[in-house]
Amino acid sequence: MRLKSYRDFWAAMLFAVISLVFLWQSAGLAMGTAARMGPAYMPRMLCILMLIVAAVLFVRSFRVSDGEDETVGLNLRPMIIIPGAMFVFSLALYPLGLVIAVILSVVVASFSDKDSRPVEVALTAIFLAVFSVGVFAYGLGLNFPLWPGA
Amino acid sequence: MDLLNNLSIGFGVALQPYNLFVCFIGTIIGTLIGVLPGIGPLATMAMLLPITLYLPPESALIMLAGIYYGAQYGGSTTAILVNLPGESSSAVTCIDGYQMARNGRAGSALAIAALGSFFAGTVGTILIALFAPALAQVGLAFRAPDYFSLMVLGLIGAVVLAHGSVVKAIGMVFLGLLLGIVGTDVTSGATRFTFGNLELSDGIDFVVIAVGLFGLGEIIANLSDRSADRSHGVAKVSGLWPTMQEFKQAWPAVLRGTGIGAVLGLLPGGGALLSSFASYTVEKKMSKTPERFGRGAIEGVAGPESANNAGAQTSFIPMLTLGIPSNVIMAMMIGAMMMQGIVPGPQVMTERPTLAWGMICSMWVGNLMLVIINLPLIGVWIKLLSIPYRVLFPAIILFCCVGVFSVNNSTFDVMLAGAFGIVGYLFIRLGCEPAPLALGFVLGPLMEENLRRAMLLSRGDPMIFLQRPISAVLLGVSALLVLLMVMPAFRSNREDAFQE
Repeated sequence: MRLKSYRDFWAAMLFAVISLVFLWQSAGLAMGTAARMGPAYMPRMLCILMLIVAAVLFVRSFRVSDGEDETVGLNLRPMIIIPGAMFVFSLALYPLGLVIAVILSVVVASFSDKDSRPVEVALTAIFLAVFSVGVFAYGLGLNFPLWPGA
Repeated sequence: MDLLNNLSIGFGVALQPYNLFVCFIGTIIGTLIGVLPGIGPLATMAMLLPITLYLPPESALIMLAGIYYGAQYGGSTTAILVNLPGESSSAVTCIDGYQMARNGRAGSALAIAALGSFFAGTVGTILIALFAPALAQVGLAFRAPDYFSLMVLGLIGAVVLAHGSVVKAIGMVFLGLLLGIVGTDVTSGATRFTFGNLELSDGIDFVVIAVGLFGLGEIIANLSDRSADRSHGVAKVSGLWPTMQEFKQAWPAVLRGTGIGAVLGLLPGGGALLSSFASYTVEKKMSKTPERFGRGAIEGVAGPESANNAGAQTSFIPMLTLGIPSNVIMAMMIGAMMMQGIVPGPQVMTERPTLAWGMICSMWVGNLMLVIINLPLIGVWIKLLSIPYRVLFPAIILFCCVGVFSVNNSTFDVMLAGAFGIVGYLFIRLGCEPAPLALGFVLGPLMEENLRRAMLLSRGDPMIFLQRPISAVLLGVSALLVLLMVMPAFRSNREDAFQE
């Protein structure tokens, strides 16, 4: 047997794993009856339906080609760095304040792009920091700590 | 006269100076964000939704309508000038719009898109005013089983219309429903799927899902795909006014597009995307010179742009009369209403007429605003498009962070959105369309609630869904859709339609 569609195969895996995790997490919840459904009733039904979808995709991935490139081909660099920039922003915001959080996240984000230029990144970071303080904090009155310890 | 009365209530609200101002601001920033490559109307609305929380309900929804129009128009601008659709509904505009731009007719493509949209929006508004009150009466007869069946129909609609694989779209719907259920169960008080995390006990916020899946996923995909570098340059715009001949070619397409959009927008799962695809196909089939399509035929811009606007407008009808979002944009509107403490449903029409009609009319005003303000500003948007992507994307990410954060002042939400960004990118690579997931996400809790009530009423007998006439008809239509989907003839048609 040879895989004919990597996309279908991995989509099947993804759906299967998610539904199993949710099934496992619903273990402690009451099922109830059809007339009085407990908190686990609908989620378990959905998990089972999702497992069926996963099974169909799994079988199909060996039979039907989707006419796309061989592998799924993930580009890990932006895939990790972009969410990473958001993590940095959220971790930095409360201890360090908006200004530093913006600068840090812009610098981190810039690593996701091979062509980024240091001077440009620095200018973008400074501009965005000033912009955020002016527009988000003062203009829209959003509730941000601006500086460390604030 | 009910019609005039309703419209005058609506315009009374929408034309208040403050609301006009809010609509104006919404349109401008909506366009500003929507023009950015790879950011569609949905991601734009998700990012800007938090800003509207500080306004009174009427103004908030009016601003959101402005943002939607701005974003959609911004998306068309990007589609026409640089051949980069922000979202699938403007993918159709790319085909002939970009070719027109290369022929030096970018200005007239943009003008026709705006004018066609405006005309379609006007017709849509009148249709809502005519039919919504009557349908709201029907809505009052809906009970739990009927609501459940209606949502089934909506989700099946979303599956039929999703891009690509039907099986994957079904999986995405289930996943969306499941994610929608995360949090505290209203009936039993049990917390579900929070993984012991307190921040999740209120459930996942819609903005988190929308920004993560539609915004970040798209940015990551853009950054990974270096071949889609934005180096093909921005087309020049010279002269905004279409020639007499272009007008002559465009107006029948606008009329047909409006008709198609108005009807398709009513369908659950319908709205902008389906309408624009359908209209393009019709224009190509009707044309005496189909060979011009794909080489800059103005009908190929005028038809779909009008259709998606008419569809967007009439998809308000199911939302206002039944409280059920028929597509993701409406889901966003409902999200905004709920954040304002308004429960969507047929009662909104009767209890809050200023809100309901104000919103309908503001869609029209937002559209008008676009024609008056955005067309002259086209130069500014072009400047924005010539900024390289490597400078733009950190700003987009920052907007995402700030937008998500300000919904609940929660840094956890920002991280969660980041995580959904990874998931969104995986989905793009795996060929799974995120729109069905988003719709399922909004409907998840509602569906569970209504299923529970229905089964309680019938003491656990599922036959109740077939015994109630409304529910039975809705399920019948759903079954028909499923049948159509498996029929080979329709299947190949559907594939053709998406191939275009």
